[in-house]
Amino acid sequence: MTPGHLTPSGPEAGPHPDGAAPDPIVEVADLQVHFKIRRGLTGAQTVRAVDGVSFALAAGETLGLAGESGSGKSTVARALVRVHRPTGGSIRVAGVAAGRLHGSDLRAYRRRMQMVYQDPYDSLDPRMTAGEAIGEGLAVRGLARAQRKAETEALLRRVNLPAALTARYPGQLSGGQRQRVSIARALAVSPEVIVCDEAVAALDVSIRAQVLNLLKDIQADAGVSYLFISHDLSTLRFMADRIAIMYVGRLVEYGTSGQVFSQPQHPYTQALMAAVPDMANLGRSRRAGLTGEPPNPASPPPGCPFHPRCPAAIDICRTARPELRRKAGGQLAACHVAPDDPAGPAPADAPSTTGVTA
Amino acid sequence: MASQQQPVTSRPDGQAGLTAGPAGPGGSGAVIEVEHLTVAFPAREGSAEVVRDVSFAIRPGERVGLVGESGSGKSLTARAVMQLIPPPGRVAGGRILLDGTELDPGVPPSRWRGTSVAMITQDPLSSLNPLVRIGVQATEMLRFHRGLSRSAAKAKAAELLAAVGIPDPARALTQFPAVLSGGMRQRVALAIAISCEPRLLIADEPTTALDVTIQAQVLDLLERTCAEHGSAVLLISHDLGVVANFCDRLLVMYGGRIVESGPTAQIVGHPAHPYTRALMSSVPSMTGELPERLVSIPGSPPAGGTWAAGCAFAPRCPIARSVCRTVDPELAALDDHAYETGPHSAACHASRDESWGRAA
Repeated sequence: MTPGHLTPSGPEAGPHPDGAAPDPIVEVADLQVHFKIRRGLTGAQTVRAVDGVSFALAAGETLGLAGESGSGKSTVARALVRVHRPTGGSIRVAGVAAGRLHGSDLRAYRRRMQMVYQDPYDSLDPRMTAGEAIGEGLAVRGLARAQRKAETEALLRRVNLPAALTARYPGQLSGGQRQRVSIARALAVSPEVIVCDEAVAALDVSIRAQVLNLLKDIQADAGVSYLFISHDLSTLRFMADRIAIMYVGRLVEYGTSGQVFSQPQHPYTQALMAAVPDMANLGRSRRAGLTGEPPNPASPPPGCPFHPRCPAAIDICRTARPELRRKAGGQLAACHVAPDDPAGPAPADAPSTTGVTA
Repeated sequence: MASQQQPVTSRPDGQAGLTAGPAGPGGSGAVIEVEHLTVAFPAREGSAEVVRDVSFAIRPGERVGLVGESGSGKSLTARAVMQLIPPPGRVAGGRILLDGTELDPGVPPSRWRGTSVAMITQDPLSSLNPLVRIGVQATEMLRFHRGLSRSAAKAKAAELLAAVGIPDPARALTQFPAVLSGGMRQRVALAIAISCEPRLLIADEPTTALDVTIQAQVLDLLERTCAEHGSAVLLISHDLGVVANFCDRLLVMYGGRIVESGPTAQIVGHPAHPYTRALMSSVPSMTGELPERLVSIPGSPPAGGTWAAGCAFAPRCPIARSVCRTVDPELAALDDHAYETGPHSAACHASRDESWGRAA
């Protein structure tokens, strides 16, 4: 029951040209995270924030996850680090099912999976110095106090900060320095996976490039995998080996960076890319943009949830929800209109996210 | 919102009804002239100048972009124009002319805010009153400035909301701002800002809080609305891509000063200041070859008011030399070429070097 058949294939697929990632470090299959919200005095409603998402992440690779607010991308991240408990589906990290862990097993799990947030204050205690925040992670790893000091300084150097900053509180650091300290804090437990949820979105442009370069260097040294969540497609193009695009709780496109950026198949992906203000294409018309707003995840439209905004929608889009299928470019996309890969599997064998169970 | 698809042909330079005149920056005919503006905040010793000697002019219908990182002074420049510098800050020097006339300190700003200059901000929740229905806020200016009756103002407000793509304007007028999505709130803020046809609209990071597809919609609307109403736009953003795709002319700020200014195509094609160059290459592109590493600027942008001696960028500059650490370079034209929208200028000692000049 591996979701390997959901892995995009193609010449640019890197370490897994046959489509199946060899020994993926993270395997997420049909992940569902639902929330119950109250409506009025007696009513209750289920919001399917994440509704059947499958992907795999190989060691040392970066998966970029993009989508607009309300798409569920941050919920995927929080389910992965087990802030949210999945409602359904499975998350396996190095073969260990994460969905039902608790107690010491959950703590051990969280050592393999760290998170860097948009706002460093979400992971740094304002009353703890940088050294204390990093030392905490080292203590979890079982390092003796004497070793911790040297290791803390080594980690600060790793993120290009002077060791003298150990005694500083987060409030005494600049935004870029704070984000580096949260990266050092995440690295302290030697994780296999770091989930970066809009980790550079709040940084100034000149600082953003420094932090992105740093994250790439750390990956090259330590072989850590990233799930890199961003609304900024140009950042993802630089960072990610593979890209997953989310819309209202589901993946609508999933492929290698090369496939998705050179031949986006889903009309939503195409619209997202067209909306990026790029200096390389000055004066290109913005007017081809999408109309309307993303739907409320509590009441998504029937059929394809994108159809009310889709310029290519046909009748079937209003009634039947498309599944992820292999498209002409080699990637997967959930669209009735985009042509299927002629050499791909027959419809009966087509990959189905709903057919995969834990 | 199907109306968004219709082509808009009226460009600022081709507009009827505007007597733009052949005004150059600083000349007559500009809707706004900012001359040697300095904004200061009290500091431990004396005062810290967060905006230093900023001068620019905007012609009727022109779209000008102001780019910079946090602490560069771009928002305070806009706030100085609106006379909204938060105390204890103050305008310590320079003057601001609206339509050629210096503002009379005796005239309450409410007389000209909205009609001469209007402003929209990053989060409309901070410019809209959360406790007052949209209908009241959207009709306030129409009644005050235009003297419209309650019912006439309401009809006009509904018309304006419809024009910015609010689906059910009559209903929206009865709602509170928090009910609307971020994109819809920004549309409402724009409708209100434009309601008295200001000569200049200042948009301070209007799309930073919005999703990218909504950002495109709002920028499109901003362009169309301002063209229809004949308003010039000063678009402030940290995102060079946004301003470069929207504006005729750019002003790049660093360390409280304008370090480069000129026509958009000129700056994007031949950036002259090392800061502008680094800023442009630190953003990954959506097309073409990707670099293994991004060009990054070492260090961080200085906090407002704590500038290095000489050129404020010198501590981070790859080509700084000794003169840069002692003498702050003047903003000077790079060549004698007369671009349609004004000269291309940079404040850099190296910009007039033979080897640097046009090498980019």
